[in-house]
Amino acid sequence: MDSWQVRLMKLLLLVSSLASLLLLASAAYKENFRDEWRSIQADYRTQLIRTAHDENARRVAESFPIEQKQLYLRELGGIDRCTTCHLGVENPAMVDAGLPLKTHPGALLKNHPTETFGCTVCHQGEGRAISSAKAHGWYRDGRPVPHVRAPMLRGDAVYTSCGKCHAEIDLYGGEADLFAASDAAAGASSGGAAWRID
Amino acid sequence: MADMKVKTPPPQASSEAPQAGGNNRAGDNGHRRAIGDPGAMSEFGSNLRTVPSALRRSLIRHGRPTSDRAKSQTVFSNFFLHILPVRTHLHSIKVTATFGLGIATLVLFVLLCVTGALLMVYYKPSTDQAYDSMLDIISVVPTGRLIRNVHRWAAHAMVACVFLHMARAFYTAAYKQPRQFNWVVGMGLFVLTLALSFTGYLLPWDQLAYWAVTIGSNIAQSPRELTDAIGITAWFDIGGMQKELLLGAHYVGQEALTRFYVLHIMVLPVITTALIAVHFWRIRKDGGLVRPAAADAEIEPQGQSAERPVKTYGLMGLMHGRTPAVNRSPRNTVMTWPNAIYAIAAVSMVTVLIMLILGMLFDAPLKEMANPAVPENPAKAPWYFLGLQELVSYSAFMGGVGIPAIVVLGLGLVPYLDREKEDTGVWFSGSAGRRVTIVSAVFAMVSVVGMLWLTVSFGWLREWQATAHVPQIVITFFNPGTVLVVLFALWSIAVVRFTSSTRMGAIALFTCFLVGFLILTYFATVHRGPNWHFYWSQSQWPVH
Repeated sequence: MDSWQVRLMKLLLLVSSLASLLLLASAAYKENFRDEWRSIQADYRTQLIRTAHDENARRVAESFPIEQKQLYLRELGGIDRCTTCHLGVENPAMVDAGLPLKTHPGALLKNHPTETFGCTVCHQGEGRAISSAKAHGWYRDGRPVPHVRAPMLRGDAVYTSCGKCHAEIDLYGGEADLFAASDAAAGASSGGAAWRID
Repeated sequence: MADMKVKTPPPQASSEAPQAGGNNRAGDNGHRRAIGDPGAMSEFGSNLRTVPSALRRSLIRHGRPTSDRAKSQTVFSNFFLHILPVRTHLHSIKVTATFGLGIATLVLFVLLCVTGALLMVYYKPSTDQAYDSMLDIISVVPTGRLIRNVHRWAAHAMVACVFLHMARAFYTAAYKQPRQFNWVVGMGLFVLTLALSFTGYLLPWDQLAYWAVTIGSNIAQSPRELTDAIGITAWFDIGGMQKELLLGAHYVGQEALTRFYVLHIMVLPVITTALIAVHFWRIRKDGGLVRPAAADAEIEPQGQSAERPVKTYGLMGLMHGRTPAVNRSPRNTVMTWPNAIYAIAAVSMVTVLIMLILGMLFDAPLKEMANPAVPENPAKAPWYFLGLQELVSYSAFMGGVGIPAIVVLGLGLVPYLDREKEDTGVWFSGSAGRRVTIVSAVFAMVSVVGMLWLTVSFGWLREWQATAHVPQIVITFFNPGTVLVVLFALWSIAVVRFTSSTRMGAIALFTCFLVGFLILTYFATVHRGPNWHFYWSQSQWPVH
């Protein structure tokens, strides 16, 4: 018969081992079933199935894989994982869906396909992050998320990014006006278009 | 040797001589049986069937640990376990003897090596890619966030456990004869732990890392305070040399990141592992963990049946005593297996559990990417260096180099300055020591808080009219840090005189150091804000 000390140690060992296993199991469960992006992708799959126009499309939609998606930007350098949640940006069928699945508005994606340009070159934000707070740099209620290096440009401030590649003289029509007006928008809505010093 | 039978050939075989031993396969003339003999096939068959038990027997060469002899063999014949003695003294596995702090520190080190190796798979030690790879690890690498968090909190926990373990070893006088050298080895491990933590701190390459290391490198440069004061910097710039050695450049950049990485993942862990091995070896050589002389009288023998000793081949363990222990179990020891094994396993698993809980609940910080153009204000060192940083704010050289050197040297010399043999292994060496500890703690608290209050309220030297233009060298040697060092030294000398005991003086000094360290660390963490000004709380910091 073991002494009481040995029994106590055995009990501690058993309890802490089981608790550790439980914690690891719950971490695995949370990571593989509970992340927000997974439910968003499941939503998208449902919508794809719903809007499928024929049997083929339905089958394709049903086998839509739930997985992280990323755009590897060779020329610009970097990685954008925005399409993990923003799955419908280039899908015209998603015009009526709500964010984040909505189609990208306007015709900009025609000249700026996501495979080459990604998203953050215009919208900023943290391309490598996979949670909405860390990726956007803003909570849903508008409060800034601390320590995000380039928080997303909100509202019309996004048009300041045109100047990264285009001289104003190259923009024509409404785009030039948008670019010109974006400075004011940037000052108002995002506390400075580029840097936020905390 | 029982299964090495000599095989005799069947009678109708050729006249080959029987071979002794089965290893001789010398070509055609070496057959042990005639061709066509079915014996070899059935032997092969039975060999195949008994592979599992044969494998088990070659892996574990003793029976189940039910008898004392088997329990001995379990420990003694195992490469990993034989660092432990076959029998453990009951005092050593009492919770209050060590609180398992040494095991906890070791387990944390192992955990850090494992999580560190996993992190190395994705981390990239380049200034362009380090921060991005950190984001990848915490965002998309499976379990990355948890592993990184566990690595961070285990690092902090290891530093804390090293401190606590050192305090335990000190207060139980585990540095006394014959354990002086092991204390010194422990000091080496302490310094290595801090170095490991510091080199790892830079790797995320975020604002926190970059500016903490910038401060650290400028502290390395602080001997310039001295060489400037005596005007020899142009010829002998030890400060500049130290900073360049640390950074590989004059600024924190790729060279610094590379060498910190090499130190952190290879050089320092290898040296630490070696010193850990020496540390454990010394414990065995010094007769096990420290215990009071009374431990043999205090604890009742556990009613171990005095087994008839079975004859063994080989030295199983050393026993103290003047007469051979015939038909007698050594008093107050128990078999290591299972008693100590379960104690060690329990401590280890509880440590792992706590780290897992911390890793799941709290995210390790990752600020914006390192930006040399945007200094953090305040730029704070990791918590275990914050006390030092407070001292550095008084004098860079004294706070960064002088006082740490004095402390490390002082601590290292304790076993050689205090050689009293009484009350080894007794917490605080008894009631007198407890009193000295409490009074010294109060003294240290009063002096440190007093100095801090004085400095915050009235400034120091340069802020006073009379001494406004005093040369820097005066401040180097006369500042709140040095004043505290002198106060503590005088206090412990007074204790030595008053109690006529070097042990009491050592307790006084160590307690002053411990309390001083804790208060300074707290103060610099909570009450120092931008520009290192005093604030009651962070909510009062000026906002831009």
